[in-house]
Formats: sequence, structure tokens, C-alpha cells
Amino acid sequence: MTEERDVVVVGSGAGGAAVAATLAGRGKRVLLVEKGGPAAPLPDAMDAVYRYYAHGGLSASVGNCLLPIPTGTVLGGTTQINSGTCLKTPDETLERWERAGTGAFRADEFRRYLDLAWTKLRVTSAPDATATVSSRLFLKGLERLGVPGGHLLPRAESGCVGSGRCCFVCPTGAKQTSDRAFLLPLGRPDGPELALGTELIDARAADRAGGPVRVALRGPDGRRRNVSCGRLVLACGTLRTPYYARLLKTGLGRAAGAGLSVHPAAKLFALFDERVEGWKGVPQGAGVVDPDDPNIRYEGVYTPPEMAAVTMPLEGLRLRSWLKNYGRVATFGWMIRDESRGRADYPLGADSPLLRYDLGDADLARMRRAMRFAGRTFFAAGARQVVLPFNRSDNVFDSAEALERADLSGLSAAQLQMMAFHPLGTCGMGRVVDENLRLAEGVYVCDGSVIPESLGVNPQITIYAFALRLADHLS
Amino acid sequence: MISAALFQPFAEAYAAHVGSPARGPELRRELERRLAQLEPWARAYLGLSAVCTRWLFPLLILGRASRFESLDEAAREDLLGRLQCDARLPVRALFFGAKTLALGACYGRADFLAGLGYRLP
Repeated sequence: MTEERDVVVVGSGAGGAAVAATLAGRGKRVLLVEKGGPAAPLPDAMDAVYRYYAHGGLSASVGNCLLPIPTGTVLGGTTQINSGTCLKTPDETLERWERAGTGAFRADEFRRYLDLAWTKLRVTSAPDATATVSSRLFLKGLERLGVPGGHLLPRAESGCVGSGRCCFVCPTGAKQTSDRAFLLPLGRPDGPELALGTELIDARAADRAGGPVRVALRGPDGRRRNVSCGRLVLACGTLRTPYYARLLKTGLGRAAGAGLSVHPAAKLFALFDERVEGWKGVPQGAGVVDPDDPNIRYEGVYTPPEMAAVTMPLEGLRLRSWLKNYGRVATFGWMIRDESRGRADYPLGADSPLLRYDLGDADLARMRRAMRFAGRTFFAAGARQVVLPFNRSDNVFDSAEALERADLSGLSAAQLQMMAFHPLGTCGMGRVVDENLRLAEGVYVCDGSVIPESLGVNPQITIYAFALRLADHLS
Repeated sequence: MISAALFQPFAEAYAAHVGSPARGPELRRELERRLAQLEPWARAYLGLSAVCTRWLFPLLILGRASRFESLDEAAREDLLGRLQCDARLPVRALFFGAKTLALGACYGRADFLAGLGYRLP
């Protein structure tokens, strides 16, 4: 039996939830398909990683560096495990997209959708009271160095008490995830019909004569479910959507998977005399743009002790010493607006993307610059020691002078201890999808994959804006 | 089937080396619990990482045909330090897998977290 819907949306992250809820609110019969289930906070951060991160948190790209790329497989997608930070698409980026296009994308129009998303997500600056000691110390260091621009970051939240667990499912529900902002309460009459634990297994685009899009799903009981619909929206995420785009076997869909940008990121640890207790407050509450390189953005970060044991680039007796004093350890991170590009391929199917990414020389130089700047800032705030994020035995520094003297020029990409939180671009607008995000007859894409370049800012607001714009287009 | 038994001797020796008291049946249960949450391919990857870190890497890196847990303190320190800094990504990735499970189980312990003053939300 084939079911019929007006629209099928696959994926409930920032793109999928927003487009599905908006269209359902306008009377369309919308089926929202999500591979994961609902999220619930867990006391152990690693448990949350195993349960809600794709591949138990073990997704990584290979190339000249090892780059873990965590994404969410849960209702709400990656918005369940992000830091909640909201930064609008830079004006110059919007203007560039408009100039590169055929006229269908207009910067002014897009800004209105950014504002709409901003309101819907209740974006507000983190209250001063919820700033972590790490953030305060970093801002103090900036002030002492005379670096302007340090600020509290705007966040999607309502009633945050600073539990310090944004990336492991918010324990109080204050973070405005895509399901919280657009879908709750689940099952409401003007909302989309939700199919949890369900995945897309096949899709066929509409024919030019105006026939339906045909979709095959597999539910939690393993049964196949066939649906015909007027529109299919792929919002499975940057690392998964290209598989389905290629499945459609359209000309442009075959190009999906290339153009992967990731915002390579790293963090440093700094030991202070005072108690830091980084678990208290909003981990990503503050940020600053590098004073000399706008492609480097520093943002707060916090790693729970059980994860710091794994991610700190230390071993043995030195690791023991740092963990024993972890209550006095501050952390801060940065991300690079990368020039390097990678790609996603699927030799083993949608569930096992093979991600390849080589960090280029310019991005590597920015990484070296950023770690020195962040270390200098913490020393200015009074740090006793810092650990820089590279795997070499000389990565611990006792003074700002030692840090300045250090020769980091020999650091290779392979030695860096990095992560990447913002995979984008694998179905880039203008390259794989058109400016209305159309991939094929009746098939659209709406997630981070459509963002055609490395943004340089946390991308969730941009993705929500694309979704609200697409909903208007499909209405 | 990848079981915690494969990891336990390594995890206990590693825990002792970094000063964690985690050991015995409690550590075994914690390892089992964590493995049970993972997809089969991830368990297989971690199983391979345990085999490499316990048997292969002491031979490959130190030139000693000895299991990790049979190495003395100085040799463990040497091996762990060199694995952490190894330029070969497959070696680092496998070591990272073993480290993730072993240290996650050791440092997720409530007594360690309470000692830091860390309060679970």
C-alpha cells in the first residue's frame, strides 16, 4: 500500500524541523522522518555521546589529519548536541551569494529570515551570571592584552541556569533545540506527523509530467513503508544527505559530497591557582574574533572530566597530574574559517560515510597562530601552565615567555588534536542545488549541506533561515 | 563478540598508571555497559584497538613481545607517550579507541568526579 502526503521531510535538525513545522502549520500534510528517537539528558557525558551522536561519537574524517566530526542522530538532530550559539550569516557572505547567483537569492530577503529564526529561537545573550570562570578568565586576558571585541555570545535559550552540558543534551530543556522551537508539543494538530526510528531507504524524483515523488522508508519494526508525495525535502545533514542526492541519479546530484568544509577547531587547557570548576555555567558563553585574522574565531568550550581524560593531549603521569587538578583547569577553543575542502563518499552505504579532508597550509598556519594567541591570553589572565592541542611531548608551557619562544612552525596537521563541529557544503547552493534549494523535480535539500562555503560563524541560524525561506517557497 | 574481558587487563593497568583506583568487577561492569551501547562496527573497532594496544603496539613501538599490562611502569609511560605522539594516523586512531573506552570508564566514576567537586546535573 502506498501512503500519500503533500510533503515528506527527512531529518529533524535545524533544517528539517523548521520546514516541516512551518508547512504543517499552513495546512500541508507533512510526514517528518527521523532516524533517531527523542533525547533525554543523561548523567554521564560519554553515555550521551554513545547514544545520541552519530556512530557513537566515533565519526571522523581521514586525510592528513584525524578530525572527529560529531553530529546528532536524535530528534532535533545536531541542535541537541550543539552549544546553542547563534551568529547571523555575515553580510559580506550574503552579498557574495547574491552576486554569484542568478537573482533568485537576495541578501535582503534572507536577512528577514535570519531575523525570523532569531525570534523563533528566543536568541539572547548569555546572562552574565551564567558565564563560566573560563570565559571570565579569557575575557580578562583579552582586556589585559588590550585586545578589543571580547563579548558574551548570543544563544538560543530560555531560562538557562548554566548546567554546563549543552553538548550532551541540555538537562533543563532551556536550550532551544529545533524540536523545542518548532515541534513541541509532539502530535499537536497543526504539527507534522512524526515517524521516529525511521529511515529513508530509497527515493525517486517526480517526472516532468507532474507525477509524485516516490519515497521508501524503513520503520522501527523493519517494515518497508511506501509514500508518494508532492515534495521531498532532504534534511539528513551534511554528511548523509549527499548519499540520497546521489541515489536520485540526477545530473547535479552526482556532484553531491564534494565541497565539504568543516570549521576545524581545537582547544587548549590552562591551569590556574584559583578554582575554575568549568562545569558551572554556559560553556560557550563568550567569544572574540582574532584581532589580526578574521578567519579565526575564539569561543568558549568545556569538556567534562571523563571526556577530558580522553581528549587532553597528555599521557601517563602528566595526564594524572592534570586530571587531579581538573577543578582548576580552564579551557577555551577556536575554529577556523577553512579554505581546505574535503568530500563525503559512501562505499558502504548511507550509514558509513567515508570522509576525506586534508588541512591545507593556510589553515594549518591559522591553527598555529590561534593556539599561541589563546595561550597568551590565558597567561595574561594568570594561568600557571597551558597545554596546547598537539600531540608532542613539548606541548605544556609554564610561562608566556616560553610560549612566545616556542617554535611551532614544524607542527604538522597530523600532530594536531582537533575536532570539527560544522560540516557544510556537500550539496552547495549554486553547485548541487539551485538558489531555491531544488535538487531535482520535486526534491529539495535543506540542511548544512546547502551552505556553499565555510561560514566562519556557527551555522545553525543560517540553516534555520534557509528552512524558513524554503517553507515559504514551497507554500 | 567483543567483550569487556578483552579490555579489562589493559584498562586496569592503564587506570593504575594514571592513578585511577578503577579495577575489578566494578570496572568490568562499566566496560560492559559502555560497549553494550555501541553499534557492532564500533565494538569491533574498539576490540581491534584493544588487541593492538595490548599486544601489537608493545612489539611494534617498544620492540618487546610483552602485553601492555605486563610492562613495568617506565615502559608503560614510554609506550603511552609514544602512542600519543605517533605520526601514523591509524596507530593514533586505534590507540584513541582503546583510550576512549578505558579512560572513559575510569574517569566517569562518581568517586573521581565527586573528588573534583563536580556535581552531576
